[in-house]
Amino acid sequence: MKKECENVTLYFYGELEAQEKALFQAHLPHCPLCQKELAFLAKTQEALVPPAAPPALVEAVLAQAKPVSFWRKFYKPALGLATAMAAGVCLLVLSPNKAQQSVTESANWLAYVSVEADEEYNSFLQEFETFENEF
Amino acid sequence: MKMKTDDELIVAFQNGDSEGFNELVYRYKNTLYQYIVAMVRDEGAAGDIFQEVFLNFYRRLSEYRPEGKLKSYLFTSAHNRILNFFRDQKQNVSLDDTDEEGKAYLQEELAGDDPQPLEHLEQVELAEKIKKAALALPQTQREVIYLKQYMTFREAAEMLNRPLGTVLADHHRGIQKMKQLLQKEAAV
Repeated sequence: MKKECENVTLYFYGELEAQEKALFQAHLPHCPLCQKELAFLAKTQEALVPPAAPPALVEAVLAQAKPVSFWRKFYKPALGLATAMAAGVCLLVLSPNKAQQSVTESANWLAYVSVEADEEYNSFLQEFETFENEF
Repeated sequence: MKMKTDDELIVAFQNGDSEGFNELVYRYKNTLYQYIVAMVRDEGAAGDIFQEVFLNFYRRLSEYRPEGKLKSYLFTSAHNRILNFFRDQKQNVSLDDTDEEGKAYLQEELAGDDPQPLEHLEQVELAEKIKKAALALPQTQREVIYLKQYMTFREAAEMLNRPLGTVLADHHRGIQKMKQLLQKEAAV
């Protein structure tokens, strides 16, 4: 085996430097072993061309990789905000006297509303998740 | 029309074009699937790994930094999952004894043991036998033989975190072993 024979694989895959490639090309016509090796590498490459992946599998990937919808992405914070605002408006309409109370009392009410809104929001979320699961 | 690069598709996805991901799936589905099936030799498990690789990539895609290494990223992701599969299966994941350093393979005679010519086999028949022989190789040789179908030796060495000479040696041994298997079969 000559030194050039060592480069047969790299030559086949086009991964030799220019100088080594030229040396190998000069060697190849005189080396039946390298010629046979190149022929076998070509047959191997041809035989191992990737077949198509099962379409059902590809479809499964694409179906699971659907982008998150605008509604699913923003419904939680939007719902929380809407609930808090609705609760605030109701409070002002139904209890006008309360609105005139001192700043401290208002702050207390705001805290109260916040807790109520949280509970309402959490309760809604639970119901929504139950609905989603059932659906 | 010029085909978009992987990075261009990733950036397109990050800018709201979900088709970018689909196109990447279509671009790599065949090579990744072939590689995974060839390694685990179980179509069901291969399907699971295939989906995991793409869905994991999808989940990270918005933060993925396009640096021209997507192929390596996907194959590395598949490679790691294949190793986990072998671990779970309690299969032998240790590298076989072909992993000695450097260019030891250069000492070997090329086709030194070539008693039976393969030329008489029909092309189709030969292709099937080559596939069968490739699947029968030890894990490390099989992996390099298949990876070489999709990337350069340097890329494969980088991906497998092994010296280039070792990867070349495994490829060479794999090819010689395939020849032996084919010759053995042809002699029967």
